[in-house]
Amino acid sequence: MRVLVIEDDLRLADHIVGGLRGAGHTVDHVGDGREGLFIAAANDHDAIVLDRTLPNVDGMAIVAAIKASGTGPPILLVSALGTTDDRVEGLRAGASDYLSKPFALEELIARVEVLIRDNQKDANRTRRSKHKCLDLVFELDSRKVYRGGDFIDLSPLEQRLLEYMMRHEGQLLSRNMILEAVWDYRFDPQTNIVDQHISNLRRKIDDPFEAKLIHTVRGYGYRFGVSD
Amino acid sequence: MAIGLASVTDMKRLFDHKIWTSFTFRLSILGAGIFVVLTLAASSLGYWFMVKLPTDRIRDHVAQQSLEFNTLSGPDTSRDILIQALQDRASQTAGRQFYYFIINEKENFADGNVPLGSLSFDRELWQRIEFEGAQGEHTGLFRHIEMLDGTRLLVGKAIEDLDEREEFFSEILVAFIISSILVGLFGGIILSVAVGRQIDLISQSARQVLDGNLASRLPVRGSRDDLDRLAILLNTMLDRIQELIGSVSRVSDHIAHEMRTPLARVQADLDKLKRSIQYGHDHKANANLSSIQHEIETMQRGFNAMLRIARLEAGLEAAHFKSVNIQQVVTDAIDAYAPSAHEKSMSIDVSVEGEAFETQGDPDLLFQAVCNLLDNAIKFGTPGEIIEVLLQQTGADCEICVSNKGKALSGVERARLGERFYRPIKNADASVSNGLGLALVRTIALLHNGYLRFPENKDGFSVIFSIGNRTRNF
Repeated sequence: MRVLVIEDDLRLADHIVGGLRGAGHTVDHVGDGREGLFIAAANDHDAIVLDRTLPNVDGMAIVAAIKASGTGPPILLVSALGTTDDRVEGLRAGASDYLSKPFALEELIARVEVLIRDNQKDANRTRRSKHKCLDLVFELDSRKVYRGGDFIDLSPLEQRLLEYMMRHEGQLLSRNMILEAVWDYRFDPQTNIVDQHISNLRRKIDDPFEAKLIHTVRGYGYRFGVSD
Repeated sequence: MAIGLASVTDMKRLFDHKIWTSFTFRLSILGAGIFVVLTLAASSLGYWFMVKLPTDRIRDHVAQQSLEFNTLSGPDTSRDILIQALQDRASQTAGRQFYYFIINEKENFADGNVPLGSLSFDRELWQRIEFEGAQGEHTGLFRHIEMLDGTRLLVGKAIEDLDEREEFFSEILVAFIISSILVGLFGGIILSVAVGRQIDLISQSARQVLDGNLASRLPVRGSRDDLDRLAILLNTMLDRIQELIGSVSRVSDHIAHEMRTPLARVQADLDKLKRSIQYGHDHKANANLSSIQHEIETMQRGFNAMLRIARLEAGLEAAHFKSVNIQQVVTDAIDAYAPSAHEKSMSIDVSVEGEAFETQGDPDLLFQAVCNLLDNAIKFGTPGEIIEVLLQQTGADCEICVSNKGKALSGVERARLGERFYRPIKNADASVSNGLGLALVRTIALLHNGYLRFPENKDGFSVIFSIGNRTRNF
């Protein structure tokens, strides 16, 4: 995938660019907001990573400008400002996701990849009726889950969790991403409730079966899919 | 010489005195000025009505009469008829006294009811003539009529009373203006000094605060007037500032203290890491790295929680109030933490008393608060026991009570819960608790016009998180 990184801090930019390239993406980097705007307009990137605090120009203005054309790539806004209000402001300006510093590089990469896939799905506009992986089936209309033909009783929370993971099959999902996607509230759990819920989910859909679909990526999060 | 100079300096000091620039003084002068203008207006009006208008009316009347007499003074009428008419008019006692006199061609007084003696008269159409009469001095407004044979007739009316009125008005006007200026000036000085003294007191106290004495407060006289209200308001403001500064300095003290331990641990882990790498113990190195990551995450969480609390308290982070169903929030929180409870073989029992748990609140903050309470109950409660959640409506407040079995806390310990960084001794391990969970819950409760209480619980621990519908008190 082709990613544009607009970041003026060279060390941080190196870090991000290196990480994305290491994950197999083609990366363009500019250190200036206006230049970033030109490059974004002239090219067709799959995603943009933009630092909100750029010199000489307001990052939010860049977001708005990129989104003004209507068909820009999804933007991951990176910022040192991390309150809920800042996040809401960023999303409202047109960013598709928001990551506050300091962040783990893997988290950034995971979010970029999820953004790209979500954008592709939107572009396809195919309305799925179900998610399927091996013998696990999630009927979206009835919210029923089956594996190997057997009905599996999941709580609404577990359903949302499984749906999120199946929608992003194969992608790395950090705990923060899961927290944001599955719960409607913006909160900071003092303990790792995500791990607990994943554990419960595993007990129901993985443990009784041979092929495991939920994988822990140590230190980073989880990945759903066929094990590689 | 020295005396002369001293007085000049004194004069200069007098003119530089802040009285002249005081708002009260200027206001008084303005008031005096307005009064002067009003007085002028009233006097002018009075003058118009009582002097000018009557004078004009008399003039018109005299003009009319002179017309009549003019016709009688023609060549066809005899002088005697004219004189008779004049005398008739003069003898009328009703109304203003009528005066007339005739001057012959030799400039001599020929006839009249005015004791003029030897005065020479102009041929002006209208003349004011003063004379001494039987009852004192008189003034008449006369019209000059030139007769064909050269004699002159002057007819007029008494106007000495109008003159008196005019004098009266001008005297009164001058008196008013002078007294207004004096009253304005002295009143202004007195007012300015009096108010100035109060303002000086306030300024003095403010300066004390600026000099660093944050505990200093403005004097309140108890007169309940606007100056007192201002002093009370400023004192309240100073209280808040003092509270915030104290809070900030406490937080920075605590940050320094609380961050040192994790940082020391990270340092130790880094040393271990160095050694692991040195000896090629990759497995240990990975474990060291994980440990460091964990410490950093703990510190990050601590920072975020501290910042959050501080921002919420200072009003920098606004709570987004909307209609929220408390029961739903509690249910969602329990759903979120049920697996964690189950992990320790604990279950969460919820009971609801009353109805209508719709209220105004920030759903994210409320959810966070309940989550923190449940998290605490799971962390510190006895494994295998039941966590009880009671949701009830008491009057205007909505109470959520979370209880768990475990080691009971003393009254002293319970009194300090909710303080930032406070951990009861048994929970002193910072990696388990950063001591900020309950502090955040308390801040959220206060933001929702509620409170956080820790009732006595011999079997374990109870906490009451309440949100109210009261309007905020200051």
